[in-house]
Amino acid sequence: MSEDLNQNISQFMDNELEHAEALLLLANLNAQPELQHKLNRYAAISHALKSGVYLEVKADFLDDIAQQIQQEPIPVPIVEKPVAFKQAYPWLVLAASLAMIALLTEQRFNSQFVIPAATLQMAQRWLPESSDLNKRISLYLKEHRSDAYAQSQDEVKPYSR
Amino acid sequence: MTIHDLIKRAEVIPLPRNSQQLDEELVSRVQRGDKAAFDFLVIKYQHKIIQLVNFYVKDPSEAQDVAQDAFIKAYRALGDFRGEAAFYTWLYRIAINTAKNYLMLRARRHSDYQLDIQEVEALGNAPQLQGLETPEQLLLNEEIMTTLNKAIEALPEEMLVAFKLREFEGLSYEEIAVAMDCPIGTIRSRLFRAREAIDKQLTPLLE
Repeated sequence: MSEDLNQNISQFMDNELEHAEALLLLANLNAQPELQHKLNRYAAISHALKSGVYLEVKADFLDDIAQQIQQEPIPVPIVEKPVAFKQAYPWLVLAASLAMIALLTEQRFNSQFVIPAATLQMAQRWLPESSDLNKRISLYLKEHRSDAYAQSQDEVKPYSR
Repeated sequence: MTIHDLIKRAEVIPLPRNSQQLDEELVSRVQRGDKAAFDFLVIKYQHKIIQLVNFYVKDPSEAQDVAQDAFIKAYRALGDFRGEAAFYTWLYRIAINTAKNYLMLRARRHSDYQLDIQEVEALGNAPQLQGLETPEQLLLNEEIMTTLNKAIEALPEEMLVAFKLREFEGLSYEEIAVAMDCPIGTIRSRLFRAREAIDKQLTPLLE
């Protein structure tokens, strides 16, 4: 056991090791039971000074836990969706689908099919501002403004509603 | 030191930011499937959790079993850990609840363990009430404590001061360095050598 490692154990006990060094030490502790024993002895001494009782961790404490958690599933964080989102989800799917169809149809066939702006605006409300689809919907809505004819703007496509 | 002191110390005196960052990273790794990262958390907190549980359970051997149970519960609940509290306070709460549940179950099984949780907490921290019940256990503990105190008093003065400032006053290395007017590296070395000297004196008793 090197003196450097033991000194790191002493610092680790005092929460005085830098992040990267602490991770490296933990990896060493996990791999070498005698290093864990050293840490547990330092901790037992510290506790005994404050409580008057010397209490050391048993040798197979970690191994027993490690064996048990191998049988356990991974504790993946549960992401809660907002209630409003859950209720609007079917409509969101419909709106997003219609938006995609409109845009893809518009671009590929240059057809005269137009979907209501309100539907696209509803879909847009639920999309992240930076998403590609959101930007394309904005462009589409801009190009199909209902006041296009009144403004006489050349870039506006016909058949707006 | 009472149980309330232990909890208060954990909650009012937070762990250094780098320690909390380490915990956050390890928790995140576990949540992404790295089970070995949980071993690291166990290594980091096993002695604190056993000591905390033993305060309730009053039996060092059973305290270790209950503490293991607490760690398993913590692992299972990690999916619900949102990071609103520091990991170690969250873990301490699980350990305390696990210990209390254990006491209630034990009380139901054995009519002579009719201890109220408040009574347990009020009993204090005397060695006789920490599960050291046999004369041999009490005697060994007394010998260990005597050896420990002698080893500390035999330390060279500068090591002794640094050690006491760290262990009894809870000062950081930086604070001790300022108090003793020397570099942090010197403090680091003094504390390490103090621990090694004490450990060396205890070894014949423990092995």
